[in-house]
Amino acid sequence: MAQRVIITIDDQHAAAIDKVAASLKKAGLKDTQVLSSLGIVSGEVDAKHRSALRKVAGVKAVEDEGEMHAQ
Amino acid sequence: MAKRRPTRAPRSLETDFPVISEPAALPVTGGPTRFIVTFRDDAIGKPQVMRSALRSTTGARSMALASDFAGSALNLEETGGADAILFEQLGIAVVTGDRTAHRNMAVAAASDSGNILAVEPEGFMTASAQLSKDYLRGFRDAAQRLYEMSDGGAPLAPFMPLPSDAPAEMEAEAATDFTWGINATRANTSRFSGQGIRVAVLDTGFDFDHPDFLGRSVLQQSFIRGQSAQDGNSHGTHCIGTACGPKSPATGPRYGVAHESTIFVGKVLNNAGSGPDTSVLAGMEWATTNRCQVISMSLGSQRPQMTAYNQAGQRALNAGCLVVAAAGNDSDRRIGRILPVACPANSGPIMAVAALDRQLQVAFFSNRSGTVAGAKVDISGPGVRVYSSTPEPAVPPRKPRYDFLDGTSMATPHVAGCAALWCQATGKTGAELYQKLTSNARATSVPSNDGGAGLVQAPQ
Repeated sequence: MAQRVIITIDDQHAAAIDKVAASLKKAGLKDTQVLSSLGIVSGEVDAKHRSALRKVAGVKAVEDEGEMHAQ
Repeated sequence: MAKRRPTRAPRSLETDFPVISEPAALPVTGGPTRFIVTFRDDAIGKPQVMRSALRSTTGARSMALASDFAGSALNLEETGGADAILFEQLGIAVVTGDRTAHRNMAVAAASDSGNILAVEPEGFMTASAQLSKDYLRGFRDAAQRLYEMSDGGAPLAPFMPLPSDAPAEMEAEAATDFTWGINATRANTSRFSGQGIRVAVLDTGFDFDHPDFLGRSVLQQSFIRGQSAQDGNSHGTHCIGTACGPKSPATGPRYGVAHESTIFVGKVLNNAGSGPDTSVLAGMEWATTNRCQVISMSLGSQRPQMTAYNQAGQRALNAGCLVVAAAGNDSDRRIGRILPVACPANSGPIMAVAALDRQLQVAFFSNRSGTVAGAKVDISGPGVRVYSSTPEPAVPPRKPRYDFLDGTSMATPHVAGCAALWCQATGKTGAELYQKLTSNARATSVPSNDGGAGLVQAPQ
């Protein structure tokens, strides 16, 4: 089942975030959005490929995307 | 939160549940979502029938029964692990499931023979989660009443009445020169206006036609698919009003702090008041790229700290962009329920803002410092009965373009506005600006785990 994920890229790969994003796509990430200033990549991944994302060089964390609400 | 106090009616079984006419929101996630399932009359009061219908369509295993909580009121948080919550006396269930579960339930509802009458369209819960909590609370209260009535006429749980002085107090507020929040933060006597300072408010958008903002420098970007940055909710317009509203509005009191700031409207919450992390983070990226010295986020959800927001907040701060966020409204101190600061305010580099009332006491809904490093309340702002701008309603009767709202959401833009003034006054940004705000806050009697450094103050 596909799930939305938020991926944090570590500081060492801050300048190479596009390369990390390309590796993430190869590892199964789809509908990818790259936020270069913050070092964040988001997208959708099939559950069976999720663990592969964590192994991509430069990935600090893979977290489930959630919803924010007006307070 | 953001409840309109004047229109708040006592809850009763006759109360109409809100109907959301929101166009289908973007499908933000393929993961589990919550649905409201309505059963046919035959199933009402028969939890076994409801359970079996849900099990066969959704595979839901763990089901909580609303009446199990009847000794005390149903606490939605306590049912967090359940796939479904059954309100057996109402013939309604709240089900957590994926698209397949939804499809199966919808197919069952389309058949005349099954026990399921209707399933709220997918996206309903996703798009309206802010409202849905109240919606669910209504169910909870109704279920509670039904249970008590069935229990031999035991006294009904008292509903929280609107204080009798509230309408008069608010009428008086609308007739003053400055709102209580502008007074309490001393924005009214500040020499500074926020001129030249860029303030991003990431929320439900803005009413670009509001007469109080004509001639102001306003930039906009929507991060919600299919919706423009025009505010279809009113939450965003209210927050922008507090942070950046004018020095002399056409009518009524002054309600805005940084009255000459440049406004960046980032729509990251849809018109029902919710948005996915990707939209919020994309809004933060946009504001950071545009070198907004202040980023105001009156949003959150009760989740553990996230690495993504820790890093996003730190990167923004390093780039000279101070992020302030609502501590969250998940608590109800009237019944002793106190929850920790919500995400993303629970990230260290992001300033978490609690809400105070006019007596400078912590608001009953305002969250408390969490136990994780960084998840503490950092500062407080006025957040109860806050008067500010709202969009003109799309349908008659035409109302004044102002309203009173409650929430840590309302406290947050008071801090954002003051941050813009401090930035103008001192030239400080990022971590130094953060420090200016906390070190100049006014001490109150509220303990620091509830109110942080104290009530935010404007530079004089």
